[in-house]
Amino acid sequence: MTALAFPAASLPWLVWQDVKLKARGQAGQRARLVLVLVLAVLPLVGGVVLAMRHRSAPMLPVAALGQVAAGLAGMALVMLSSAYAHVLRMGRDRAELELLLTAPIPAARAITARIASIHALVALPFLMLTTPYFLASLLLGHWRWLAGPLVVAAIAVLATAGALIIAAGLDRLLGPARARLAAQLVGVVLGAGMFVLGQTPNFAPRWFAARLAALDQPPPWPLDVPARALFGDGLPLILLLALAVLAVRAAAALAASRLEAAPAPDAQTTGRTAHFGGSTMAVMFRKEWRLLARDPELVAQIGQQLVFMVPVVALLFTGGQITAARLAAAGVFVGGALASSLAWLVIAAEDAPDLIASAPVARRQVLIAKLGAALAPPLLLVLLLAGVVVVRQPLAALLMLPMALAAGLCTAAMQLWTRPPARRSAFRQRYRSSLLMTLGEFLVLGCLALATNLMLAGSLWVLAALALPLLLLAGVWRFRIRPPA
Amino acid sequence: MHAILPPEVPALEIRALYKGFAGVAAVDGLDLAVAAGEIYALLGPNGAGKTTTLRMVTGLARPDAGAIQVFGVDALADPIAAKQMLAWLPDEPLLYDKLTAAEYLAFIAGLWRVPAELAASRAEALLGRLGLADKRDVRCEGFSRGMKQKLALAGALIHAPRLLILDEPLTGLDAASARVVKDMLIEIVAGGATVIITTHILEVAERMASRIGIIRAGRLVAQGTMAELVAGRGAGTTLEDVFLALAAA
Repeated sequence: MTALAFPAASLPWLVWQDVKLKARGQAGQRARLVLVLVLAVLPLVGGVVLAMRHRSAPMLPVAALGQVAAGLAGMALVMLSSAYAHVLRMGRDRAELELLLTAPIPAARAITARIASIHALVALPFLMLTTPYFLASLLLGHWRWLAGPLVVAAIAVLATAGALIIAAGLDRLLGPARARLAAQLVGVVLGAGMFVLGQTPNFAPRWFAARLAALDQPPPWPLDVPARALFGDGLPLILLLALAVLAVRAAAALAASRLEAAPAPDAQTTGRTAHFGGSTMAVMFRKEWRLLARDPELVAQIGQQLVFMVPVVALLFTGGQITAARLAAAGVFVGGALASSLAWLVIAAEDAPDLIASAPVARRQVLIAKLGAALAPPLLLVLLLAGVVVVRQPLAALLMLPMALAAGLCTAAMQLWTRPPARRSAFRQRYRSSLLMTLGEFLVLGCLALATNLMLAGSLWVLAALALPLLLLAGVWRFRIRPPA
Repeated sequence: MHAILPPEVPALEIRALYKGFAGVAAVDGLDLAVAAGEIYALLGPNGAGKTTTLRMVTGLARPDAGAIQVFGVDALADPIAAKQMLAWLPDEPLLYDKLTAAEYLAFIAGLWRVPAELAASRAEALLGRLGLADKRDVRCEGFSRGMKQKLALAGALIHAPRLLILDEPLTGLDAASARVVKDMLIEIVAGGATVIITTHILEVAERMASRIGIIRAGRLVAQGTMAELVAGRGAGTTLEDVFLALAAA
């Protein structure tokens, strides 16, 4: 499908251009292909299978309303978070919008197109995931369930309006810079909460079963409105769609006022000036840490990426047993992952590589200083965790530190050898930039965490768990990107 | 402390320098000598090899062949010693958004091992001279293009380099700031430093440079003072005429 299908400069044409640009910014061509396959093919198969299983369900499955309502609430939260990120970006990246505003098209259309593209970007992933199920259900006789995609779209519209209201409120209360930080922190806390909740079947199975049982009862009004609307119940559906129409209008009005009053970049001052004396190592250390400490958005994003590892780490605690050996393994995994993030920042995302390269400092010295800056925070974190582990099993704590250091060095080496120079602002996309390297990194971390566990169990399989990352590292070294001459 | 060198030691001496990219020569057997204490303007059309040459001098790129000496020091064998005497100002300013102007200068001073007190006093003087005194505690992320360019220049000067290499230093500067920068360059040369400058503004080269070199396809096609370059080309010949004749030939 191309934009040629729409008349140039029409509203759908503008929306399509914007969605296309945003989608391009997210990943490379191969990654997009994988994404399309995952989002289109798998839901198609899964949706049909699921619909087949539900073919004998009543048109309005009252018993499932609680679980569906909980699922929709979770979806709404994710949509809100996604919409908020788009709203922030809309305020920041004004160049494209200003180009549109100077073009001979009505300003209202340009702004409406921008908002419509946010609606589309928020709704599309969920529509792609759920529509096959609703279509299959229609064919199996549940014609009312065709309301499902409409409800998903309506919730996306409401989430976007909610995001705009929150953005405007926070801007007014805290100012743009602090509002951005607050949003990031809320995002981390929400994300952490959802992930931890998602993993409770692993480490708190009884508690989870009790909560699940509570969802067997249908929720009270108005909490049941979205779930009932999803199954095509007339009045709730009309109510939700009416709210969505109001939200579309409110979003357009809020966006217009937000874009007209877009703030100038913050001129941030600092009360305390950093000093950069001492050895080259000290100078580089201070520079890296200062840059990180001054960038709370980045710190929040690092936290967010660590949160995304909760499901992987939770695998170590399957069955609800939290042993010292498992904690040590988790420490190695998380420490290595944090080191990887920081190594990417200090090595690949150096803001002024030419400045450093033209300074009278040996490249090796710079590298050692940068690695030191990247490894120190994860080692501190692991040291804290070792303080907990040492009480239960001193050997586990003792082993955790060198293994975490090894994990950090391995992931840092992978960053150094493979990652091309990038901007710090691209941190969020770093895992998406190379699927192969991301998988390799997780494999190395997983093997080293497993090796820690096996070593403590006295198993000889530890040799295999250590050999695999070594082989992988040798492969990465072989195909490394050589530094430009 | 630098050793006292005999006056005949050039600030920069390049011999038979070659650098190719994918089999295409960007710098093709270049020979060049810049005397200590002069302003040397290196001119050439886009893609002529100016920036590649200067990147090799500053250690940012390694030549495929040839030799580079900075004040008699072999820059390829002992790059650290050569870099200690050099400053490089690229056409795009190299700044850290999250550092303040004062911190940025302190960081560069730290890399070049300038004593903290000396660095602080130089930073104050440079920021004042370049009209950035009131921005010393403001983070670079809020700076305009011109302010970034001026701060990058202050960064290049904070360690008092003996050889200053500037790639399009006046980009983004308003007329008043450009004038200040030109005056500063003349002053530091009067103080004994050497300046190599690339620019597309031929008037700057004509007015400021003691000698001008014109490079085309990675080779030096002409070099000399303004008078030497226009000699024998008829009355009223300008640098632009010479440049267009040589660069397009």
